[in-house]
Amino acid sequence: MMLSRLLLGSAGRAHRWMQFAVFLTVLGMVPKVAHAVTGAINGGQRVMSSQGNYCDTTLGMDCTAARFPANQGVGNAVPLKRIRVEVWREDANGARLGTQPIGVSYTSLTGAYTVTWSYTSTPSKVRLDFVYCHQDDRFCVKSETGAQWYNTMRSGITPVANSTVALGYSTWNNAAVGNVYDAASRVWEEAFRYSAYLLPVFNAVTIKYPDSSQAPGDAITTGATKTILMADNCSAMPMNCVAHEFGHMGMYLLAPFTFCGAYSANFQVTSTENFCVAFEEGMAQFLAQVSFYWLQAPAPRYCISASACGPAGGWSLETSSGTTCSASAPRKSMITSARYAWDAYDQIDDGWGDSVQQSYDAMLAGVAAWPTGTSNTLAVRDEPWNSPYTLVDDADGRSALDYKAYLDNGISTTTQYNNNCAPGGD
Amino acid sequence: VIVKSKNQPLFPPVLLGANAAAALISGLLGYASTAPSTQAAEPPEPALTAPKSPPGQLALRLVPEVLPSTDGDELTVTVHMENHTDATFETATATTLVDDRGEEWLPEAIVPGAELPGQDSVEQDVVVPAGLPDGYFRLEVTVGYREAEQQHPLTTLQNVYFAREEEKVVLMSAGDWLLRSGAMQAQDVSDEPGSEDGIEEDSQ
Repeated sequence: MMLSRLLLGSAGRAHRWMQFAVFLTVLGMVPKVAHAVTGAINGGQRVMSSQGNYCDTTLGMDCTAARFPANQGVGNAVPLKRIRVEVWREDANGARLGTQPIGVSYTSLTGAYTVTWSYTSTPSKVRLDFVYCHQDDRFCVKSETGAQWYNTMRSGITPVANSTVALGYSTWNNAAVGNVYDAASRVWEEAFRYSAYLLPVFNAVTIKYPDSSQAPGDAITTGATKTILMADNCSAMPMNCVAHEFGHMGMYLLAPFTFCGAYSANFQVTSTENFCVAFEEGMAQFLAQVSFYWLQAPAPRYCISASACGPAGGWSLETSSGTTCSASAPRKSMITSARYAWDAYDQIDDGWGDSVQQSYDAMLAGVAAWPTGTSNTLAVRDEPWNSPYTLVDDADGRSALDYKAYLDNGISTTTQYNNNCAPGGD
Repeated sequence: VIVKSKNQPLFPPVLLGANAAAALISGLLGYASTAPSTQAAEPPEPALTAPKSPPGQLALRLVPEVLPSTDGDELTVTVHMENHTDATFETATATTLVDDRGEEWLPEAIVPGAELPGQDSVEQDVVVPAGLPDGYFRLEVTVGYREAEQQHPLTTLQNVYFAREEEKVVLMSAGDWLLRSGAMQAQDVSDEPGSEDGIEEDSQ
C-alpha cells in the first residue's frame, strides 16, 4: 500500500512537471540548468616555528611524555592544523574577485588539504587564503580591531576544470600570526579536545593579536566575551601566553565566575597573592601544562621564555614543597596551586604516597561541578564576592581547597594537597 | 645593527647566522661588561583585573628613537632590562633585522653581556644605521639570561616595527605593520611535492 502510494506520488509529480515544461516551451521559455564548473586544489601548509617552550633532550631535559618536542619548536616547519582554507578568484594583481570564496575546506593534522572549488566557469587564476580559524570554530586569531587575519599562502594558481591541481607542501617563513594559531591548535589538539567537559563549551574564542594594550609577554583573558588580548611577542612564548590564557578561558567557560582579580604589585609565579589569584593562575597553568606534558612526565617544566626551559629553568610542576611551605613556593602562590593540581593528575609517584591519578577530564569535572553563589561558608565559585557583587569581601574564599571539594569525587587528593603546602583558603 | 651599552664604550658586535641566538647566548654570556644602573621601575598599582599571564623574571622594554643624520634617519633603540628576582643574572643580547618578507638585512649581532643584580635594571642601545632601502622592517631584540649556576639561559624577546620611506624612519605598531606591510601576503619559501611527514595522532 505504502509502496504504491509512493510510486503514484512520484508518477504524479513527474506528470505535473511535464505539464509545466510543456507550458514553458509554449511560452518560449525553455528551462535551462546552470552547470557549475568544478575542480580541486590540494597540498599542505606549514609555518616556520618561532616558538620556545619545547622540550629538548640535547639540553639535558627529561622529555618523557613531552608533547612539544624540539623538532617542532623554533626553526622547524610545523603543519597548520585544521585551519580554514578558502579558494578565491583572483585578478591580474592578485586581489580577490567576488564577495565570497568559491571553495572552502580545512587542513588535516598534518597540514594537508584538498579544496574543491565550484564556479560558473573556470577562473583564469585563483589564490588560497588560509583563514586563522579552527575547523570546529573553537578559536580564531583576529587583529586588535577584530578583523579576521588570513594569510594568502598561495597565489597565481591556474585551476583546471574537473581536475585536481597538486601544489605540494610549502612552508611560510614569516608568520607571527601563524605561530599564535599553531600554539592555540596545540593546546586544543594535545589537551582540551580530550575533555568531554570542554568540548561543548570551548568554542568561538577570539584571540586578538597583536594587541597594543598588552605589555611585552603579557596576555589577558575576558571570559564573558570569550576574548584574549595578546602582546606581540606572545608568538614566541606559547606556554605563558596562548596556553596559559586558554587555561583561564577554559576555567571560565566550564563554570563562569567573577574573578576577584587583585594581583599584588609584584605578581610573579612564586609571589604571595590572595588565594583567589593564586588558585586561578595555578589552575590555568595546570590546564595549559597538559598540552606540553602528559601524565607520565617526570619533569614537566614551566617557564616564561622564548626558548626551551632547559633542565633547570623556570619551575617544575613535579617539585613538591611538602607539608612545609618554602620561600620559593609560598602557600598562596600560583606555582603551589599548579603543583597540587599536577600531582592530583599525574602518574608519577613522588615518594610520599602520591598514588592518586585523576584523569584530565576528572580534573575539569571538578571545575564544572563548582556551584554558583557568594556564600562565605560554602565552597561556591564566587565566594570572594559579597552577594550584590559590589565588593570582594573574602579574597581567599576561592581556592584549591574549594576546588578539591568537587575534585575529590570518590578519590581523595588530600595527600597531594597536603604535600604541596596545602594551597587552600577558607 | 650596532649594540652598545648605555654610557659605555661601543661593544664590538659578534656576528652570527640566523637562529643561533639561543645557542650563542648559552656560550657567550660574559660578565659585567655593562654597568647596571641603580634605577628601578615603579611597581604597578594593584587593581582588579581579568585573569592574565604572569610576567617573566626579566622584563624587557624597548624604547625606539629616530635620529636624523646626513644619510637619512637612524634608529636608536634603548634596550631596558629589569630583573624581577633577587638572583643575579648574566645576560646577553642578540639583535636581528628582517624585512616583511622574512629576509635578513643585517647579520645577527650578539653582545655577550651584562651582569644584572637582583631587583636591578640595565640599559643598552641598539643602533640601526641609515642606508636601508624603502620598505618594512622588524628589529628583533632577544635577551638571554640565567643565574650563574644554571646551564641553559631563558630568553625573552621584543620587536620594533618600522617603515623606511625616502630615508625617513616611521615607527609602527605591530598590528599596523602586519596590516600595511607585505607580511601577510603570499611568500612560500619551499615546495615539497608529496611530502606528508605529519604529526602522529595519539591518545591520552
